Amino acid sequence: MADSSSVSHTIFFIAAVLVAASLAGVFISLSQDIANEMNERRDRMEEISDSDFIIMNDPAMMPYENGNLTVYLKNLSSRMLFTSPDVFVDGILLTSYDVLDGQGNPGWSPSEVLTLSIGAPLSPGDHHIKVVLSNGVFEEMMFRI
Amino acid sequence: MGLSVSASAAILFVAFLICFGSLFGAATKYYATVDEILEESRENALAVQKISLEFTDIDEASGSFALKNTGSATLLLSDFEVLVNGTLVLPQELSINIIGHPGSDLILPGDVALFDLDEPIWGCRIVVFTTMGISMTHVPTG
Repeated sequence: MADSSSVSHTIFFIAAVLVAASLAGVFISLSQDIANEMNERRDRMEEISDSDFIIMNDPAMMPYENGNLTVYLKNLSSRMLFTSPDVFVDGILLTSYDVLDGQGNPGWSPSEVLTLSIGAPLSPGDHHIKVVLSNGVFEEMMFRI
Repeated sequence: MGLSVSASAAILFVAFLICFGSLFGAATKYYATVDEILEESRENALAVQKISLEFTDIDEASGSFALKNTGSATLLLSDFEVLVNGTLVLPQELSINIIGHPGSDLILPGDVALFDLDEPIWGCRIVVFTTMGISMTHVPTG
């Protein structure tokens, strides 16, 4: 009788510990996932808040010759940005453009002006340009040719 | 039975401590970053209000113009970019000096900076960009 009682106690004990350990594992795993997600969002917010640039053109006098639009972009952030932004002119994504100069660095350093020569057939009148960085930060401008 | 409850409670308590530690750490860092970003954007908004420049003298024949710092912020010469008729003037085509303080890189409030392009700017539209992308435009009259 005593033997069967201690066996059942042992089974209860093992079962209780197993259930508690399983629950603990689930809780810890969930909290780690939430913490990782928060850290990723924090990193992303930091990156976005420090990705600032401007389209440095005169909207009344955009350099446009032989179907090529020249756009000046200045990096206002304190970190390197990628030199291959997406460029939309009048809502159309233009994938072929040349980065004309810069300071010869592989990236786009702080305060550096990037010159893009964009092949875009534009008629005289009002137009819209939007430049989007890989992290979603964008700058746009209306201009007239 | 009593030992089972105690052991389970102890395991769950330790798990709770681990969860709380990791979530508290992540949340603290997250909100610190949010505060930092908000503070930075407030500082930027204030800094923008302190910047003001004014074209004071334009000599179209010699291709020079003067800009006065009429704001309360100190500006750096190296932050300036100039567009003439929409085209960016390269640094080697432009010389900038602070009147009365040659060689200085700082435009203090009240200082006048002389921009010399070395070529006539008859009827040219001039745009000057400074810190934080703030710009001012000179539109030729007539």
